[in-house]
Amino acid sequence: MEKIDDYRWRIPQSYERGMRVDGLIFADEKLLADVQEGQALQQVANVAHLPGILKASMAMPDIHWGYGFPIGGVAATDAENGVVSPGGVGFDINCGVRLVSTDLTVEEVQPKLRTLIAALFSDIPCGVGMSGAIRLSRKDAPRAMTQGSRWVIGQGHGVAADLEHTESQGCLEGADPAAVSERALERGHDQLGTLGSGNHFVEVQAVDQVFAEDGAEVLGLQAGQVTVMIHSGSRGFGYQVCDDYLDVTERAMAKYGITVPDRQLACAPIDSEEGRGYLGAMRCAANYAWANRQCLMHLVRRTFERVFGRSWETMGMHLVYDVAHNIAKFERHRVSGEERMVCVHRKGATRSFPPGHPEVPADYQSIGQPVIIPGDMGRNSYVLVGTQAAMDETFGSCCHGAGRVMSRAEAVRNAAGRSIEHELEQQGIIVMGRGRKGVAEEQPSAYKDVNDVVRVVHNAGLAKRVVRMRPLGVIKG
Amino acid sequence: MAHAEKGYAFFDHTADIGIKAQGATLTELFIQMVQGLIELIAEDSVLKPQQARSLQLSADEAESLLLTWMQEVLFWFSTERFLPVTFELDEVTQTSLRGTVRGDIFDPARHVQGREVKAITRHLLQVRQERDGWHGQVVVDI
Repeated sequence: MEKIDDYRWRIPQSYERGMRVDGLIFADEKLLADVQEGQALQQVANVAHLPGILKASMAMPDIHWGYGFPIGGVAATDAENGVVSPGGVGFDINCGVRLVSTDLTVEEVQPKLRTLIAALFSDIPCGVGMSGAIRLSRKDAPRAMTQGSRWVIGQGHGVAADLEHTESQGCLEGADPAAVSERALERGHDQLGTLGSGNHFVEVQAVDQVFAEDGAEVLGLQAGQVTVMIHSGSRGFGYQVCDDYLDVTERAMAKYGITVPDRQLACAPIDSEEGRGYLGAMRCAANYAWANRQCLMHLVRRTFERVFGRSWETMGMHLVYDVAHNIAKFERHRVSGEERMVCVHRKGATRSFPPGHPEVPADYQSIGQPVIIPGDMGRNSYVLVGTQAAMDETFGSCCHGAGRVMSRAEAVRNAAGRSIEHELEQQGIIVMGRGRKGVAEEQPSAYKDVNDVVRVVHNAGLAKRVVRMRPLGVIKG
Repeated sequence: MAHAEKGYAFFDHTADIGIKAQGATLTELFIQMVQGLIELIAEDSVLKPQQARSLQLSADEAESLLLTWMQEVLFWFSTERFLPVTFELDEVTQTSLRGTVRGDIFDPARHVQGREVKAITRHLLQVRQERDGWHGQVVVDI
């Protein structure tokens, strides 16, 4: 690996036969040491084999060992003669985060914090084997799949303004319910409005540092203010869509004479029956995920209303923004001086569009698209804004979180004899989790320090810091 | 996390979890792999063989068959909360599996909640025959 500058490292195309482009890793020396464990860097090289990949196989500073693609990977392929890879999106299609503001201060929330977290924990279905309140009937399922957040708002769970502050207005065009299997429908029918488990969470936070006053003002955020962050995705519906199309694309590879170094990188030409099938189904799952986060936000607003005895509107519970961080999207980018349509796979990476871009909401045009970066449950989370540098260099992409550094088993061993809940409580953070090992596996030290990750993307110019939050209370599946 | 008394064990993978197992026969290997999966989902919950499910699966080779078999069990869990406990597999070859399983409906209020397994991945997927029997491994997405 070659050092390009303090934040950029190259795996040259010559590293391995079959690589079509270089690997490009964004990290400083400290984060790079973590990355070198496991096979994340080999996975960056593997992705560089994909037919039609443009510029480089990229990895953000939160990169870690995934399956097929590394987590924290970005790969753009040529829309005309490139491939689309279900593994480049992942099982949790349109896993993402949304940030909700409140007008409440830490002082106002603190006396009721335990009640609030307990109420969120009981109101929001989370953990293993839980059903949601909104069941998708056979009649409604295609509507949710093609309309995303808009469908949920039409059911009375939110307001039109929520759409303006959701990436792609909470709906990808081109969703094709006919491309979705019966099995995916069966797995998805009772999971709308459920959080899931693993790293998914709802977190009540306080803004603890403002980096850019103007940006914070535009976003309606200030120090001491309470916010809520929601992290979830497309649930069993999306997992099944990915599974189905890994089968389809694996078979397609033989048909189109494509070879890749890992079965999990299976792919098909974008312009093929199999590629179109995946894209149509993937968009249904992406829309399902936006519908899910819209439902979850609705539940959060209702819980706040119950606990504080006021309407969510009078508490200023507006959606600041919602981002997808596992997705494939068609976007126009400049490649070798020429603007072209590309398919950007973001596998654990967030879109980072600059001020003035037409896809940035009207009221955020002057500052750029908010980039929401959750950290671990003991440290911080961030709001950044997108930049032209990201547009020029990374197909408008940035990191998505802290990135794991410890395996789950290692984290459980590390937590043996300790109570992570108790330790966090001593720092003033209330944690409630369902799974027996969930909190131990997700403990803060299992993750890189999000402050280090964000410093790298900020200094590399891929996004600019606006505010930082610290956790007050978290619910986990 | 080795389980001396069990025919399966978990191995580390940064964000996910690997299951590896061995069995004197392919049938035994397949059962062990699913028992590992069930421990991830329901830890040491007491599950009883109260309901039966029959299945017949086929695939091009042993690794794909293992994947299909584990996907089927995960599908039952995702849609009906059903987890198998006992296995009567009449026919297991490298390309086909037929049999009946009996198991329980997982109840989050009564059973121990483990992890939500999102999917069985193809990453590091392996089935191989050695002198001491059959060995297999998968990584599941958490």
